Amino acid sequence: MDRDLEHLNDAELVTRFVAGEEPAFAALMRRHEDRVFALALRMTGDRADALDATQDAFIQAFRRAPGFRGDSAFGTWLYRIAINACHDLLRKRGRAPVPEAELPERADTARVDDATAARVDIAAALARLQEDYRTAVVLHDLGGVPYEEIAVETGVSIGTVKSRISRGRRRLAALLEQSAGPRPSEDSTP
Amino acid sequence: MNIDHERCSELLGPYAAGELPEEETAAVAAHLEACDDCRAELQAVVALLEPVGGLGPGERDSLRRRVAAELGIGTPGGEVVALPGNRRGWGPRLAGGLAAAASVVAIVGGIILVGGNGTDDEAGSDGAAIEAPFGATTGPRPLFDSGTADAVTAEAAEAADAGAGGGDSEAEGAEAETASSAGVARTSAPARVRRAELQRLGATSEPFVSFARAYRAPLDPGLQHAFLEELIAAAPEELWDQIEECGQEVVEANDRVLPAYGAHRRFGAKNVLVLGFATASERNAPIDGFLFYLWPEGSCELPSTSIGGQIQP
Repeated sequence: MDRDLEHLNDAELVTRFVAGEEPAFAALMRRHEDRVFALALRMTGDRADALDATQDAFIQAFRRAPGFRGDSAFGTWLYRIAINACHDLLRKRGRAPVPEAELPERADTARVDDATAARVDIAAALARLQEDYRTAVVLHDLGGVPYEEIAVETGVSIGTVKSRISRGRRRLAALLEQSAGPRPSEDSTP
Repeated sequence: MNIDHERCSELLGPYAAGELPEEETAAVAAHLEACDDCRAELQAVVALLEPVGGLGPGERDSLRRRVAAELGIGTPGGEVVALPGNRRGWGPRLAGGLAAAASVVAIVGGIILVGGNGTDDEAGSDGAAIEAPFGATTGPRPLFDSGTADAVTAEAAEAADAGAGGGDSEAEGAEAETASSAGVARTSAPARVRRAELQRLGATSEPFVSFARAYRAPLDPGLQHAFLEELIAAAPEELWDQIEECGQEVVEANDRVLPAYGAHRRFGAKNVLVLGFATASERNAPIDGFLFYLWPEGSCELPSTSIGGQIQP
């Protein structure tokens, strides 16, 4: 492994890679593989699928790197590729999102509590989220990507990003609530 | 400090991660009391921040091989060298939550290895293989941190690191010292703990580092319970019931966790019980990660948060 590469930042590695220095891509992969896999695992809920999606994401990143303009951070760009790779994979697997048109506008928050969130299949809920919302929520809440960065990456205003995150979270809470179903402990309350 | 709906939404991530200064934590908590929408948002954020499993060694190799084969390039082998600047680029929660989560496993099941005699079969799971080691006093033991010495130093360093926290540092230091001089974590004013401090503790400190050398999954239930008992015995009496209840819930569901650490601390706006577990990323693998659960004082319903990562031997 080329130790020198490890001291370069992502943008420098991308530049080197695009200029033909292949080990730079390997360095980028080493640096980001855990994070991309963790995201994929969160989104697919299955280790084998997460591995496949991570593989797809890096392959796509490799092929698309020459088109990476550096408007947003490499991590943001890669993360977005990974989100799409997960979604494509779920679609191929026949686990495509259920249309969420029937969802309530917002969660009945009186029943959304901590214990509920713990029991639900967040991957399924994320899969059912509208794409714009999912991208914004996953980038921000899982990836820690700031609003400004998401705005650049997705080509919308910061206000829109904030609104997508806010609405996306509420819909996610509603989906989590739905999938959790009635809780036995509540039912047995006199 | 009053905050509006939009500001609250912006702060929910760091709030859930326990990264906000006290004043903002209180402001968010106050807004949450009155705002159904923000409470719903918080639910989603908390769910998203729950740790998921990370790449196991076999999976990492497989991933690298597959990508390399597909692209016709050399495998990206070797260790990851994470640059601080790079991590920051992904935001503190990614470094703290996701990257950490990457090494924390959906925890299940266990056996032990002591002195290199561990086995990869299921023998340990029924406790049969475990008798000797656990009565032994030679192996690494769990630690209940009563808030003295190292913890206080670490906290002071953390407060200083935080920089932006500014005025907070002194108060925290004084608080920690109070707990320190009392010799035990005090129920009334436990020392404050930050996410980064626990990450550092799990990654580089005892007993996690020793556990990584000594034990492997699946972990024996007898060992898990023995270590839980040790934590209880070392804790102030007012925490005994909660440690037992919360700890049992974790170890009974998982054979890849070993109780390693306990403390009574303040986190964000709440007093919490901190229980730290050494974790193995896979069945039949050595311990290589840590996972802290922080429960609100007196409750084992759902941890306030969890903090995980990789042990760096």
